[in-house]
Amino acid sequence: MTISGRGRSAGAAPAGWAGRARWIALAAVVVVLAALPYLVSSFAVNLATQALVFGLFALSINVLAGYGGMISLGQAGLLGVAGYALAILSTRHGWPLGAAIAGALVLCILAAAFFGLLLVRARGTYFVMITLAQGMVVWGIAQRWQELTGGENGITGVPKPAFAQEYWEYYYLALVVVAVCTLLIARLVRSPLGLSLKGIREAEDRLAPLGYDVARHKLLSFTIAGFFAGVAGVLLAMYNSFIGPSDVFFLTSAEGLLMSILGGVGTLAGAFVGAGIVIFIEQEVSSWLARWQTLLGVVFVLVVLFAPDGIVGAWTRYAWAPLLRRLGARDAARAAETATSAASASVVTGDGAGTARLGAPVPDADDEPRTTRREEAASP
Amino acid sequence: MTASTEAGRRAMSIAHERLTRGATLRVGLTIAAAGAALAIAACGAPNDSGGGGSKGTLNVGTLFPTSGTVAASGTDMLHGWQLWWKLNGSTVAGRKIVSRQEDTAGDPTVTLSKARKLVQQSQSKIVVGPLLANEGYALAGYLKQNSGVVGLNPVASSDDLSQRKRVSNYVRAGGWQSSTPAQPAGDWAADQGWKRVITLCNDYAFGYENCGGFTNTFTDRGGKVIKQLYAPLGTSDYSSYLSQIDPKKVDGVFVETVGADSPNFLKAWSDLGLKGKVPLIANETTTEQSLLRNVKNSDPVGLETFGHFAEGRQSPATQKFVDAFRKAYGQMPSYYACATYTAGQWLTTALKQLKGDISDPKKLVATLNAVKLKDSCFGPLSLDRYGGSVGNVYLRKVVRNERGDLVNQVVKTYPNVSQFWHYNPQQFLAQPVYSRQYQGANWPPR
Repeated sequence: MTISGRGRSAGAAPAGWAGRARWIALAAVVVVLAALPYLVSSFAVNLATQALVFGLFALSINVLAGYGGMISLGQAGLLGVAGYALAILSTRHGWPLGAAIAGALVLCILAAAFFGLLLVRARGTYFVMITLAQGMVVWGIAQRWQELTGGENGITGVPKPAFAQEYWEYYYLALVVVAVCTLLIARLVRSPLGLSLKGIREAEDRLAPLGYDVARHKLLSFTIAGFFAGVAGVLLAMYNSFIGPSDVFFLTSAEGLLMSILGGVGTLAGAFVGAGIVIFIEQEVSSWLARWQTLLGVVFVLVVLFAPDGIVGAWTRYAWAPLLRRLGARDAARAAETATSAASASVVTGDGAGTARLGAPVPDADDEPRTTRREEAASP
Repeated sequence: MTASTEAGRRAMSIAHERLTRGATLRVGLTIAAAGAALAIAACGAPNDSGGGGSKGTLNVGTLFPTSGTVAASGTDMLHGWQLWWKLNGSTVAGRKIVSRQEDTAGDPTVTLSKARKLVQQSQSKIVVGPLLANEGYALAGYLKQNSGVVGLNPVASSDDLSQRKRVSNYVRAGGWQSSTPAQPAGDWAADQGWKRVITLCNDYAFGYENCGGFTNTFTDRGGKVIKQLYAPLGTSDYSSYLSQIDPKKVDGVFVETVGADSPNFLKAWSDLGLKGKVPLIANETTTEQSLLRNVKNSDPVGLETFGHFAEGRQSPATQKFVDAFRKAYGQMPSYYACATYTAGQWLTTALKQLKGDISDPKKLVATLNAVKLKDSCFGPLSLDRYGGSVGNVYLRKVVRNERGDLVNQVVKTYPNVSQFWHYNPQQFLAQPVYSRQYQGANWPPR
């Protein structure tokens, strides 16, 4: 499937139940997320808040890795630049919260652009190594430059906005901010920049002769992803009223990567699903299972072995796409069109709709076992 | 809620038929968001009330790091806490104490989220812990915003938790300040006639506060700290630091090490031939029991250290605790275990005074602050009006006892040592907290 073809697939689904299914699913997700504080305990709402914040962080890694093929192990550094800048500006220099957030995000963008400049010519392992080093530099500053960052003790007392003091108010704040960021990212990956990112992933060498400024594209996308990591950092620092070196350590980056791989690299929903699973195991399962780290490892290995495109990828492939095919076949029968052409057309729609619940296309659906599922598609 | 959902769906399906897909996305989301906002407005704030009160079971949450880098010490904390309730019964003033442990993994962010869990899910109005200074600061920040919750802090020893950054509902029950045992150490060094000293501490807050306490009182007595060495946490090879110590030019060395670094330091000190040649005085954690009990060689034997806990102290309170701990867990207790054991004693004392009624957190805090233990496994303990722990500091010496255990034996007792040593609290607090840049050298000015 070509890039342009996929771009179109998200924009031209047929009416009928196959088309409606994604809207119903989207509405259901929105309703559940909006009603969550009324359905579950306050602690579960806190977990959901963290899953949203870390989901956004994982998404910033996911966009680079899944769409651009750039694996960053230093993303926590950018989260840290924003989180620390917010903490320092608001607690030490008495900036009002709004100004401190703006300042933190500007600093984060500058840091991301600076890091990006050092990265534009690096690829593969070298890219990973340089990002790792960048993350460690930020961690080193957080850990050792005591006058600036409070060293080991971190900085406490980061304020929350006045309208989001309660746990459930903060949850809604995080929900809205993360939703807006996700929509922006969804737009971004469908934009020409997003498409050229995929081009960089697939064949960096061929893009340059075609007239693309590969370095500029890389720099821009790294900076944008860094900005979203920074938003996550701001949300995290306000949520905990605290930022410390362990938030910035490379393990946080690795965890973000783990979240995106668990959920599905190159999917938007995957980052949040992965974050939800990791947070749940870390904070809930750890209370009654001493070897929760082992469980996390086992889950990770199982996912990589049996669902290489992550949980969301597997869900799309084995549950969502077949459902849409079935619905599509029914629509087709009702519309009295030729059964075969309608079914295959709806399959094309199904890929994009299922994986990205907020309307983004899926790049890695090329190897979908469509033909093996034909029989199912034909049955009512 | 159901009505708004249905309305949202109907509106979306109408919009769906009329508009193009891109516009539908926007309209759909706007309607869903509006529906959600309406639903929230209709339902009001979610209900989240919790117990505590004056009767029934009393939930206490514990935040001890039983995994991660400080897991061994964290497990001792858990054991000490459990031992107190096992020996003294978990019903106090007619209320059954139910403890719920959450692992902080030695990480401040995890500490925060576990604290939230204990308070919100397990309805704990009292939380105990954690271990590391950064965890302690993180929990203090949480408690500052949640004045209905009361924290007991038996281990996290950052000076500022009872000095410049005190949070009133976070009480040092059975706790201590990092610099407090180091201050008499500096005074003692001057007593020995030491004039020139080198200090070696870990390159983080706990190290700065230990070396600061020593430097402050030692230089105040006219001594000179000729060099301050700082080793990062996790130093396995101390030879590059120890080679900077010229036996001919110093009268003594003050050392702070923690965790696995301590045996590494002691080994290097012996291997480089400094043992017996250069007088050495070390801090609490260098010969702390969670390390000593695993040492098979005799590197630490004879080493003198300053600490607020001495498991070899000949007193019924200490020996009863040590014997019970040995019997229950088959090893010698560290100060971490004594600290949480004492926190249990502290809480029990306060609850008895309040007749089990903790419905008023302010009253609970006031009662906790006023607790005076005539004797505990540390010795007599109370809090000053800044919330700092006042208790004995021991000059201890490592000996091998008849069972073959390495034990910190009391050589000298400094009774009722305040966090301000002999200084005026207000003047003392006008100093910045001890750091790598500020060690309290030659303070107070003459």
